[in-house]
Amino acid sequence: MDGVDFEVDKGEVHGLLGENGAGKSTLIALLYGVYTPDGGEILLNGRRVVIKSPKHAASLGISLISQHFALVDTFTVKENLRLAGVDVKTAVKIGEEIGIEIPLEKYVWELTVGEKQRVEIVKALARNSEILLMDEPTALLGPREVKALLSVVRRLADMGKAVVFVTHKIREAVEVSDRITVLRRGRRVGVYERPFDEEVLLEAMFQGVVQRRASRGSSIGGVIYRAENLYGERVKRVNIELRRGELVVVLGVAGNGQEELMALLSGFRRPKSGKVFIDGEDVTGKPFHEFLRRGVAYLPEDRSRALAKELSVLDNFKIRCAKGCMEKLAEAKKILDIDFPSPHIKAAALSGGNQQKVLLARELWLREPYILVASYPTRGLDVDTTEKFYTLVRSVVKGGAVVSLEDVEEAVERADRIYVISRGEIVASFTPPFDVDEIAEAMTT
Amino acid sequence: MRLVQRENPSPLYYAVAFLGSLATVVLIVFLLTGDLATAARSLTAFDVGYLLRVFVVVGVVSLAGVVSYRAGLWNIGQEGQAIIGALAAISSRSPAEAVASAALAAGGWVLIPAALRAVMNINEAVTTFLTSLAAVSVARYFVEGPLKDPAKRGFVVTLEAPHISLLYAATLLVGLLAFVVLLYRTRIGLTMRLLSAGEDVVKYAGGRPSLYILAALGLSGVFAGIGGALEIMTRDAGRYMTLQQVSTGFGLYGISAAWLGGLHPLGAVAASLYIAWLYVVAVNLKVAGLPALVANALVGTAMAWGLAGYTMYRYKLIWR
Repeated sequence: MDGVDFEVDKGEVHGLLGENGAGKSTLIALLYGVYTPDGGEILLNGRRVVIKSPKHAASLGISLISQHFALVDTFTVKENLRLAGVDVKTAVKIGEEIGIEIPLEKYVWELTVGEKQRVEIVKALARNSEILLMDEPTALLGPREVKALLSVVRRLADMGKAVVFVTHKIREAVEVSDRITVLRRGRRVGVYERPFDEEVLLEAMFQGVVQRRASRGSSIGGVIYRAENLYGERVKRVNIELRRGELVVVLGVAGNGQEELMALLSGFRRPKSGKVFIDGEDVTGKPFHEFLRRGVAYLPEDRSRALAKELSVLDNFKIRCAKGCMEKLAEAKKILDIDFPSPHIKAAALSGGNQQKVLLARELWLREPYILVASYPTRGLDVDTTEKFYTLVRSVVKGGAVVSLEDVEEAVERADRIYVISRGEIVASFTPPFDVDEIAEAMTT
Repeated sequence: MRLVQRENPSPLYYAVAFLGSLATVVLIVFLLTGDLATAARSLTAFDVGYLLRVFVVVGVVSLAGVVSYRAGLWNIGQEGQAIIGALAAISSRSPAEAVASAALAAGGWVLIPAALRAVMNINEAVTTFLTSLAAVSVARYFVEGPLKDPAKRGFVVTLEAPHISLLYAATLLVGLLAFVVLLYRTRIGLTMRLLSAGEDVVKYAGGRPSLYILAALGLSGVFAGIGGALEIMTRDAGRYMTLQQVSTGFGLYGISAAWLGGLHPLGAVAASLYIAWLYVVAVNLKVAGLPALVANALVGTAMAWGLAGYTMYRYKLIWR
């Protein structure tokens, strides 16, 4: 975040638009007291405030509606409201004012994501919040729920609330906002007022991104891996092909079924239907160790699936290492620049980035897999390590790699082919030369 | 007040827990006896052979705790598995046969909760506890029926289990300890420990979680069963069960030793010596006229300290 100015008025919906990694969430975290800014100041009703914590933010009348709901699943909505110190009658009244019916007697686990979100909104209003920060509120909603939410947001503004609406979907921002601020790489590109020009906004979000590497997988061979008509819990009709020497990116906004898709592709989960072929051989439904045997490596989004955090780094390394593990680990430590004081220290004591490096060392460097299936492998890694990851993929993966990413820039820069995923379905596929606008468009529809 | 996970867990807290437990015991003994001389006598007087006997039994049962808890599985039915082991020993003719059949019988017994957990994900803490209660009834049935000693007319007692010398029993403990230590250096042992991080991790490592659940709980049961057999076989006299004396309490002592020993096989066996000493102290107190349940109370405080040690090892307490 670099010298960003941002303001929101009473009765205004202010859209905060930007690509993943643009700094939207960081800005929200600063406004909500999760982080404290290194410089600059925050003014509330013209008075300078230092927001020390989320609790402090709440006491100042600022609420955050995020994708992580502060609701207890095994309690009813009514119990949850009471738990939050909200008067149930007031909540119902507020709900009526903005056209939200609150299912008081339902348990939270019975609610749809949209319903949970509405309960959170009412909760925030019942606590007399004047400023509502909504961080990607539509990310997990279906189209009908999105529509309902947008109209609720408009009504909030009509009530005189100040709403900050974070999104990366241009259409939504245009539909709901009075003003739109576009962020890119931690800087403010501009503030736009009605009437909005979608072309201009798109340009602002992605300007100058279309720098592509000159060389990529130069010798791409035949198909080595194929998924046909794959269905899972959230994944629908997925067809994916991987050729020798290829790096395929599955691109999409987080939470669109990528994690499950990667688990299905790697054989870690069994698909409900559909088929998976490795080198033309049907391996659908085979146990995961069979996929391992055929040289599949899987880097899950949830690292705790691949690392036993209570066990030592060495023990974790031994999951794939049979002989001379101490020496090999020392070598990997040097090559990948992994920071740990002793191989006997618990994996939990390592930072997230270093845990990821241990995984890369074990699953890529040590195993030299045939096929790599990785879920957001570079999330949380610094630039240098990200570069190392791709170098490693190009140098040690013998067949090809399928990687899910959420960053268009990164995908365009690295991929030999891009599949765009939305709501569990592959909605488009692209081959070079890539057109960033077209890809971004596919991601947001 | 809340617990925050430590970045670098410190094994020092197990020593703190040990000292805390020791202090608690000394204090309790002093409060119960009321005078220094009796307290000192209760704390220091012991028969080496007797202490060793308790140590060996608790040590073997503590290994049952280690293999189960290190796999993240809550076998708390060691008492019941020990009873089944003792019954198997009673029905055997030679010490070797007794140990082997105790291992088999208790291993089979624990397969009920193990299979329920592996196949239907039913919580093993509940089922091992319940099967422990069932074991008492099963034992009473055998005492009155199939294993009743017809020679002892008028008394409802079982036949006598074969005798095993303390030396053999201690050798067996060393053997089992070495087995666990070596097991943990193998791939199978590593995968068993991975289970504590979740079934997904085992699957990720290329193993079948259900098999490892069966193996870890089964092994735990085998150890507890052998412990139960050794308990009855190492007695100098009265190597039988009566209706009133089915349960001996060594299952609980083994669990305490496992926790107090930091769930490390060597630590658990070392802690077993301490638990055995507590047991002897409790017996001394009983001789001095205090209630018999003092033994359980003393071991109970040790167990509480053991868990406290584990908690302090992993978490730090923040007072706000």
